[in-house]
Amino acid sequence: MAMPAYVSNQETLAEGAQRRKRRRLVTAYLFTLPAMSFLIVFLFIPLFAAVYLSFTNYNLLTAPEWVGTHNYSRLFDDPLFWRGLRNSFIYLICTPILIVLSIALAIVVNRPLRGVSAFRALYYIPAVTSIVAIGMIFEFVFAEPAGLINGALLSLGWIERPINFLTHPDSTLISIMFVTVWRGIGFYMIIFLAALQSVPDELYEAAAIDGANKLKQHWYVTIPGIRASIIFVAIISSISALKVFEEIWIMTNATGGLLDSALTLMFYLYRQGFINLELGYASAIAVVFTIITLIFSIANLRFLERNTDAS
Amino acid sequence: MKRLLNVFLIFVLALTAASIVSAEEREDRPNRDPDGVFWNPGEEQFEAWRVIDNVEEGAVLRFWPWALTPDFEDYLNQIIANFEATYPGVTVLLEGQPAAGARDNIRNSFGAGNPADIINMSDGWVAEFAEAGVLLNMDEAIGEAYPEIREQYVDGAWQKVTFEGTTYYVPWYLSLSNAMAVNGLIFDELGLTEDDLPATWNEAYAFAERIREESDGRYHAFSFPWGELAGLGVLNAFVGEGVPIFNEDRTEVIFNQSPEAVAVMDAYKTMLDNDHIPRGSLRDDVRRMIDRFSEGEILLLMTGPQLFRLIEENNPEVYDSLFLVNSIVGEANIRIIGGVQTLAIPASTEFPNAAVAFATFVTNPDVQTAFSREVPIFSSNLVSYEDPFFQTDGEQLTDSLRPLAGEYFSTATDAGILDFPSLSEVEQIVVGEFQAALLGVKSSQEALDDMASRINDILARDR
Repeated sequence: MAMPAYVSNQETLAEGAQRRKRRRLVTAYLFTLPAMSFLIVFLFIPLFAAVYLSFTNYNLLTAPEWVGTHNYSRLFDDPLFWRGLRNSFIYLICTPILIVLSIALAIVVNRPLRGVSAFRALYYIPAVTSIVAIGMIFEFVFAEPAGLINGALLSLGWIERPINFLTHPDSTLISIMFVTVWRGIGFYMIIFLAALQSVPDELYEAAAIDGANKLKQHWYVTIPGIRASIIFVAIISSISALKVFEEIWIMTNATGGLLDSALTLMFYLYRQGFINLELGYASAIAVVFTIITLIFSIANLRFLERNTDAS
Repeated sequence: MKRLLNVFLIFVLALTAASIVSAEEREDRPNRDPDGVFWNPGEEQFEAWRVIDNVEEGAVLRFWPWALTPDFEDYLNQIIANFEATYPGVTVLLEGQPAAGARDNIRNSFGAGNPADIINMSDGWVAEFAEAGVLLNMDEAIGEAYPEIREQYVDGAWQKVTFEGTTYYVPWYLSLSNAMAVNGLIFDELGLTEDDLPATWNEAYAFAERIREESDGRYHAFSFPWGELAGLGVLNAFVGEGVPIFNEDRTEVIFNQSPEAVAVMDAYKTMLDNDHIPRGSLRDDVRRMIDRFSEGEILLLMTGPQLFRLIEENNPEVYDSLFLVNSIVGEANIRIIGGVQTLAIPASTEFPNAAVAFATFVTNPDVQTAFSREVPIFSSNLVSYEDPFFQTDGEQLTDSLRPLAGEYFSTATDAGILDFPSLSEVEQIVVGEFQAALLGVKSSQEALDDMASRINDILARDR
């Protein structure tokens, strides 16, 4: 029995639609190809290579030798790995400090004051300053006995002996964290400033009518209003804190500080990989570090989202 | 268009010619001898320089010096021109490496399977490549094949870094470690005489206290680069006091058993605790130590004379006041070889004979003497010191060291401490335990015992 003409027309239409869909798909893939190639070469291949190398003994100069899970079991017995992990978590203290200070600063520069644009630019300068220059600045700030801080305190007679900012194991990490906070405030301030400008003025007016003072207005209006930005900053700044490297490298002259007092996990990874040439072991550290960061970020996100929902 | 092209070509040629002329008449190279055999060689000179047999015809060598280009590019190009005339048919490509990242570049080139044929390495870098077995054994390639050439080299430099007793490089230029710079401004201000300056470390500890007191805490006598990981500087101090580092068969370190080693550590801690040396010494590297001296707060500086130019750049006033005296030595009065720049050849090179020819050419007496005329570094080839240049003084600050250098290097011995497997790990152990003693976390004896024990674990593991 012959098919009605409209059926074959429908088939033709369906085939055409499918062809168009396929063509669109191919076009879409072609558009993503450059970015995807870049990601494959510079992200996925190194990622899988690192996982593979973490099961080998590899020194860059000779071929990798398969050692199974030896590098991972070695990690658990390595006190420097644990010290690095501990210091990386201590470094997370920077995150709440950065959030509080950046919000406070953003609130200040969000006001219509004369010359406020200049202040905004000034606060942002550390974010665009080279870490090498920052290192040189803080070498001078922390220098003993005639650095900026020690010199001032000594001449004011507030201290008798200079503070050992970078020459005492107990103060090295804290001093470097100070640099990180100083460097990050301007950047996060801009994010919060953008968020603040999206909070409607009517909410502040309503709060004022309800009798809220300035502090309460910020607590009940500003903070909820910029919560999404706070979550964003909390996540990116805590990831940055966990993987801090540049400040440690610059401020400790690439040593990790006296008695490894400022040794973070990233710095330990660098030391094992590029000073001791233990690239297999360094890869194992990298894999564990990535997993820790991932778990931490997910937990962080969930925690902050739950609090947002609850509020 | 054609005329424009011609004008451009003439301009380029003129620039090239100008650069050649300026290469021979550089004001910053007052000791250069443009008429000498290096800059102006004849055919008989090429014949004399040709000492290596069976050089591969048509070889193309890649040469990686580090931190020498562009400053010394004209000198390096002249070496290459002379070498290619000495060994016709061999071509050398100059691929200068910047100072920053040079070591990583070398590592990466090996990792990529494409290292240069002749690689300039600082002495502290050689060990890891030697340990990985990727360098040519120079005791065989030169020591056995050309013993008369091997004998020309400063023995302590040839053996400064060995792996299991074997040398994997040809020593190139050396730093002289027996000179000490004195800041004349502080020296005059404190009314010191040369007799006041300490000759031994035991005198130096008391001298450090004296300078603090006499200057009312404004100046320090000296500082240390204890933040520098490379080179095992602390063990060098032990060697200077006559402390044996290894047992006889070099299977274990034993320096912790010597009371002299404990005394050195105790003396350092006393100086640090009493502010007789800057606390910054704990984390300074050599560069920062020089900066500290340049800032005018330190009286004495012990470093290679080639680095004095940094003082001139930092603070000409201090530089102009400098004068040189003998460096402080330990009680054993051992003449230790300072920094050694080396030329290493990858074992995988396609042209081993040509590479050896180039390494020996770069380090031959004439070529090295010409280099010493460029900058105050010293030749690793003892024959260089027969050149009249090394018999005479000059007008530059460091020229007074020249007549002393030959005698020093012919008797300087290798401290023999840079022969460890996993050298970077050993360096970190030494620095870490040393810091533990200085910061009072451990007693000197405990720190030395832990240092020795941890190093011995590495020796047992990797040897």
